[in-house]
Amino acid sequence: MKQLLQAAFMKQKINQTEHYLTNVLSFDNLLLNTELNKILKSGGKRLRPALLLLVGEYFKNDKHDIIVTASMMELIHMASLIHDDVNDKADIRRGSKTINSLYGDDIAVHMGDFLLMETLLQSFNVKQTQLILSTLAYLAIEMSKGEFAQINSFFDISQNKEDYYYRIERKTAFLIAESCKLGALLSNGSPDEVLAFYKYGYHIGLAFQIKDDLMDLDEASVLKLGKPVGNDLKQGLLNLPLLLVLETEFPEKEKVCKIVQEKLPNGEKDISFIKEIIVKYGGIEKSNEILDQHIDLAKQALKSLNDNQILNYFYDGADYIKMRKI
Amino acid sequence: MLSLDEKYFSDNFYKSLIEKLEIEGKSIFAYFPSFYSVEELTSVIKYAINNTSEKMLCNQSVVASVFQAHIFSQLSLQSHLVGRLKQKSNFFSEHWLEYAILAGDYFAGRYINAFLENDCLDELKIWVKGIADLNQQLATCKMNEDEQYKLITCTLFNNAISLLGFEEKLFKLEIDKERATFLSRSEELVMFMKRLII
Repeated sequence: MKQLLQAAFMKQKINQTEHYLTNVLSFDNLLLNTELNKILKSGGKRLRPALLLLVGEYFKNDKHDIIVTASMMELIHMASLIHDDVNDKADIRRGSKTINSLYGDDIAVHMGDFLLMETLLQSFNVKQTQLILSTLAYLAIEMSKGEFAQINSFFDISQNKEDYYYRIERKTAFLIAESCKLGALLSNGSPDEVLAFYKYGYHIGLAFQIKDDLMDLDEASVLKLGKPVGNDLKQGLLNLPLLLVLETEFPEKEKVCKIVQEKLPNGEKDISFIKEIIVKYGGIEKSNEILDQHIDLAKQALKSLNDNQILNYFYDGADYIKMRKI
Repeated sequence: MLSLDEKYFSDNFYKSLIEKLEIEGKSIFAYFPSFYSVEELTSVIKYAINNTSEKMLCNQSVVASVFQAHIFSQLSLQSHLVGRLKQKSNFFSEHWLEYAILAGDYFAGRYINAFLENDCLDELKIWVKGIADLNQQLATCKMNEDEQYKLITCTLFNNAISLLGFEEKLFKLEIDKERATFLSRSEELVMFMKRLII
């Protein structure tokens, strides 16, 4: 990803995007100006705009609309982070105090909403307003459904791999897939090209989430993220490695199910026990295999496209998802 | 020619509304019992019933968009009144805050779609601008929970009747025969919403 962002053509596009974002976030109101710019300047991977811009680059699309749309994807992501911090009761994000910790939940929620509305208004600056707005509406609905499904699934041992995919498609994959698809549609890609980029984004989105699941169980990774090992499970979230183990029969299964259903009565001790079970019965290996399958499917989706130097960055991007440490 | 009830409150309208009010198999009113007021949710529709005739509600697409968008926007913005929700709702799941924030985002998607499905892009732009202003006030002005609620309900109501064209034509049109049908089906909507909420 770092390599992609440092490529000369991308640097220029990313700079244009950053410039656009700074302009959008210039408000007369001091509070909005300060807090929203603080989030913007605090960094972030810029994964979604980068992918959209890269798809545009594949088609040699130099139109300003692609910059506007890439910026919108980042703004939507920023608004969702503000709301996530309220949900997670987070005090710090990327080294700065969160809006909710400074001003309370109510103001943070409304500021996130305000940012969302400002984002929607940007779509009236591009030609394909209807396309962009319908994508954003679709994402708002589906992402919320995914999160609802996730909360409803907490500590539920009857869920299976299908339920898991339903959640992670909506939580993560659709946004990345739609970003890639928009890049192709805004560049007048053919239906086959649009589908190829959508599939690429969809599979790296799933891979991204599975990698997150794996990192949640990896001590070195969670140390970097500043979270405890098994944080997802602590909240009641049953991730892929555990679900894959629960699909099989093993002597400790009844005990594991009981612990989960009773919401981990012994806290850290239960988390360590379940982590041991996941390792013992191959949950990590199996999840890694599935992660690899999605990386392969993402790469396969690109095969139908015209060979083009830009495609190498997509292949590298897929590998980055697997190798990333944070 | 379609009658008013067929235009606005057909069986499909109810079916579609039920679908859209449900999130993951459960109505929004079941997530937050006794929180939303049916009077506010249907206020624009009732106002339209009392103050217009079919002639006035001539642009079918705009009317359909505004009726739906008003309901979904109320649900979206009221779900994000976290402080009020904490005070007023008599039932909380352990995850009520997450549900509330997600419901707000979900219904934002729904009101955008309400305009898009009827090809009302200009009206959507006006609507979004109005909600952006509203959010700016909510985020930056000191208000208590009741003042926030009042600001939301009044602003959305005013924006909706303005889009419906009431400002110029209010009270001027004659009530025609078809209004009776319109009224009965609209009352049905209010009853329907009440049933869902209770």
